[in-house]
Amino acid sequence: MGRSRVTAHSVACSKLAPLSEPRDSTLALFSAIVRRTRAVWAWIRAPFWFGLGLLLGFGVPYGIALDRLVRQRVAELTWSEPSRVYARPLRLARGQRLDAATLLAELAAARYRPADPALAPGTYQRSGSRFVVSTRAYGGAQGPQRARRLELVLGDGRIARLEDPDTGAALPEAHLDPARIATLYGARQEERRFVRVADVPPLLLGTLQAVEDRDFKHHHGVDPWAILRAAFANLSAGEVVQGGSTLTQQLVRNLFLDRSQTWTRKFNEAAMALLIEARFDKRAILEAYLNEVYLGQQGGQAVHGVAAACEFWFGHELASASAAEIALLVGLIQGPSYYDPRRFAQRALQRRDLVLGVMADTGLITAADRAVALAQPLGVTAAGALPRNRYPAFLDVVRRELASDFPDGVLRSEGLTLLTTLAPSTQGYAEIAVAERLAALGKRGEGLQAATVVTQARSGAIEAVVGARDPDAPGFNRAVEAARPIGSLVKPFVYLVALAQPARWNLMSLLDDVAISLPQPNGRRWEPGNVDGVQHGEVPLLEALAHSYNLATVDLGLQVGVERVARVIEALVPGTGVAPNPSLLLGAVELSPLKVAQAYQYLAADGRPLALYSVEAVLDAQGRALRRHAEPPTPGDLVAASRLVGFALQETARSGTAHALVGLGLGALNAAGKTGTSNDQRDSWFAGYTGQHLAVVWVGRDDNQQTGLYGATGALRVWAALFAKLPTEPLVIDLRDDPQLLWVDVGAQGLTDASCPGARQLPFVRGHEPGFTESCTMARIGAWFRPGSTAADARGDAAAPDPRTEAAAPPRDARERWRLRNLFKRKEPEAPKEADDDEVL
Amino acid sequence: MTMKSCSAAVLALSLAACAGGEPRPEAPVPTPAPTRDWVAEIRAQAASLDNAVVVEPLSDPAVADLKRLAQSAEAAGDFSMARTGYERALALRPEDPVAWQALAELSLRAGQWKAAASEAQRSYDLGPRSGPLCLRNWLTIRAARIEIGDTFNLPSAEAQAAACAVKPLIRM
Repeated sequence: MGRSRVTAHSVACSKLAPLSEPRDSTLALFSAIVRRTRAVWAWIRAPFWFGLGLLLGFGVPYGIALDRLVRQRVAELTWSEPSRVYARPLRLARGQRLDAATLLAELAAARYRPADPALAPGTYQRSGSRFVVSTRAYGGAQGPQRARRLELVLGDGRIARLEDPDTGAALPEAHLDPARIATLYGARQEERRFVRVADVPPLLLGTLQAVEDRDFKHHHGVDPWAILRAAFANLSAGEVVQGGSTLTQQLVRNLFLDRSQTWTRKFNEAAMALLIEARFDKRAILEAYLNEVYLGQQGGQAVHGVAAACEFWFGHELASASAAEIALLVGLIQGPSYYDPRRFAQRALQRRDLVLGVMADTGLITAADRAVALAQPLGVTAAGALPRNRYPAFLDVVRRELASDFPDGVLRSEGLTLLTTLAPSTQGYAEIAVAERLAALGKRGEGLQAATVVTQARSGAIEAVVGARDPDAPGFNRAVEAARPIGSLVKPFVYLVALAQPARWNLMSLLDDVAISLPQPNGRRWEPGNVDGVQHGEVPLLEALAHSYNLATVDLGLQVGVERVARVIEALVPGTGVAPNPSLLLGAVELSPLKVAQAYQYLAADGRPLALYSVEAVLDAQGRALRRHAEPPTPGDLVAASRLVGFALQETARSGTAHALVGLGLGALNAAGKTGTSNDQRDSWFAGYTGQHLAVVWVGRDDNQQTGLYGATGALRVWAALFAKLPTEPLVIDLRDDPQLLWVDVGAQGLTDASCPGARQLPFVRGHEPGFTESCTMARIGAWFRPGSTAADARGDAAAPDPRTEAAAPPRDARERWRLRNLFKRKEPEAPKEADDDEVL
Repeated sequence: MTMKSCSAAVLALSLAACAGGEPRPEAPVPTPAPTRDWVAEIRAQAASLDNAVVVEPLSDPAVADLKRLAQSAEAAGDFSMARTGYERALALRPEDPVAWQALAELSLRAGQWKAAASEAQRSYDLGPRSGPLCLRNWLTIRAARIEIGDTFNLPSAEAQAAACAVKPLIRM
């Protein structure tokens, strides 16, 4: 066919014009070319028109579709930054309780590294009890805080000195930047921290271009020369040392997850790269790249962006990345899994050194810098981003607190900063205390669960929440969701209501610890008893609370009114309905540990009704406060009564049902505490507070079976293990003015001298001091002249008061009863105090 | 004393005996304190290792504070709290080689040789398998084998320990 065409053509040419000698060789050449072109055109004419039709009919719509896709995905890039949750910033001030173990734990939680010297932010240096810390700047609840260097010296369990190491000037107060404790991801589980090009170290920008795309500034999306150059370099090196794709192409690859190696994909990639370059300027592309590039994986979390990658691999922020670290980051782009420094250290090291070579060759770093960087170890942390099940119970509390104002979707995608009140060291101590004490119970401890809430006594800030014995079971947060009968933990509030009527009751008032039988609506009778089965007769109110006598408490509770007690508890724990049955007086009300903490916070805060809170502030992505915790300035209205109850609870811990604390070495804390055991020992409770912290502990079983533990043998032990380690201030209740301490003789129910036998100091509300004064000196002298006086009378012992000396005393009901009982009945002996660890309730 | 208070006292005494310091469930009869301070020796050797490749486990942010508390407790001699702290850290991050090695060293202190060897082996399997941590792993296993009397497997432990040191690359 070809030949016939040629023949026909030449025949045609010969027919058209006689073959004459060409005048010019150029002309002959030209006509030869034209002839050839026409020949070639005849061949390709059909395919050409076909191709053009294809391009117009398919390629253009395809291009438009690609363009739309590209625009959409690039627009999406700037959103979806997860919200980050932080603990409270550790406050440092002279005189504050702090020990080395706690400080080191806080530094570790806040990702501080030891360095010598501690110059760069995020480092510290320790020599014995002297610490030099270089803090980082951070955006706090009160606004941005600047970075600074501190020197502190610990001594005697406190901060002895706090000063600026450079000037020597004493600092009144300082803060560490808060530890990051969690990240709330959106649906795509992407770990990302948005950075602007301006915030990225220039060395990183230069290295990125030197290694990945030298001609980035000039090409239009695809760089054919780069492809050729890379192919050559890779072939001669025998391994992949250079990439032929431009940054734009890589961005496309990251945006559209398909990583197949087909020609179609390559074509698409090139086309989209061109489109992106046409639509966006270089700066925007670079910024998108820096925030999108895939640089690591941790389980289900993908790490995107150089800033997040720096934190993931090295545990610190991008701004302080060294040359070696930058080299590793850039080197990882080729294959974050292949060059995973945690699994393939050698490979990662070689890749990093190669990149360092490129940096030196292109003049980004000097030869000396390169040598220094080569000598450094990889410096990668052993594991990366935070596991999502750390502090699940505390985060649950946070989520509930924010639920009404911030729906979950907003929390997860808006790049918010949540500043919480968690204290990582306190949380660590609490978790270890629970685990250790329950494990120490051995077989008895199998199947036991526990929950703990620790708050700051004076502010209501929640420092720690433990919701389970085992952190691997984050589902059920017992601190919030396990409502259990509180048993004797209710008693301080019965006594609070009584002591709020100082005209009727004070700590000395006598109560009847005798059998009681009350008719119930269902026809049966309610007949409570003491745990030791003994009726103690008449007991002072202080002793009744300290030893947790059931009968005396019921006696008192019935007198003040169960309704009133129920209302007070409802007021202290908003959102709780309390049935005003007499059994309420012995704790037949179900509360979660968090609610119990809310109730006891009233006592711990010296009679101020503080609401417990876990979120200090919520900041938006720009650092502006969307929400901040404001402490209400309400003064307490039962301050005096709460101090009296606190005094009684200190007695509980000294000589009452919680005196095991003294044996465990915690007597110096002067803590106020209450043990609690519910029916049949199903729940073991302890609530105790010092001058700085309140902690409520619950121990029990999920299936509500008996535990074999009392409050003192179960929950108290956990509380003690926590406070053995937690630096805290001892409790000092203000008893100088209202109430004030007075010397009294309880038996005589009156004031007395300090030197008299049987005298003790008790606080009384101002204006309601006991009116009667029994001076043992006067009694001793008076006994000389009284006929029939015994030796005991002469000694002035607390015996029956002589009716004659009583004449001037104002009549008091309790005294009358007490006197009559002594005249006609032998007084019941008090149950002997057992000095062992099984003191119940 | 009446019958009631007498039996109450007996009951109280027996309860007190049970409630007092119980041995951990998994510990056998407590062995006498080891005569050789293995932990100090191992740490001294690891500190003096000259190594080119060091994947240094810096403070892992996830459980750094727990491990720090445990470390402080160990330094203060409270080995029970230290063990609990490391176990808590492992409950959260079961693949932390540093915590496994710390547990292994605590087991050495307590004279629990088999446990020490298995914990050190776990640390080695999870770790970078080179550098000071690797050395501590194998020295722990070696110490355990010496104490058990397993002389047959000693040379392999020593060879593995020697393989932990990576010679620096010679760069032209």
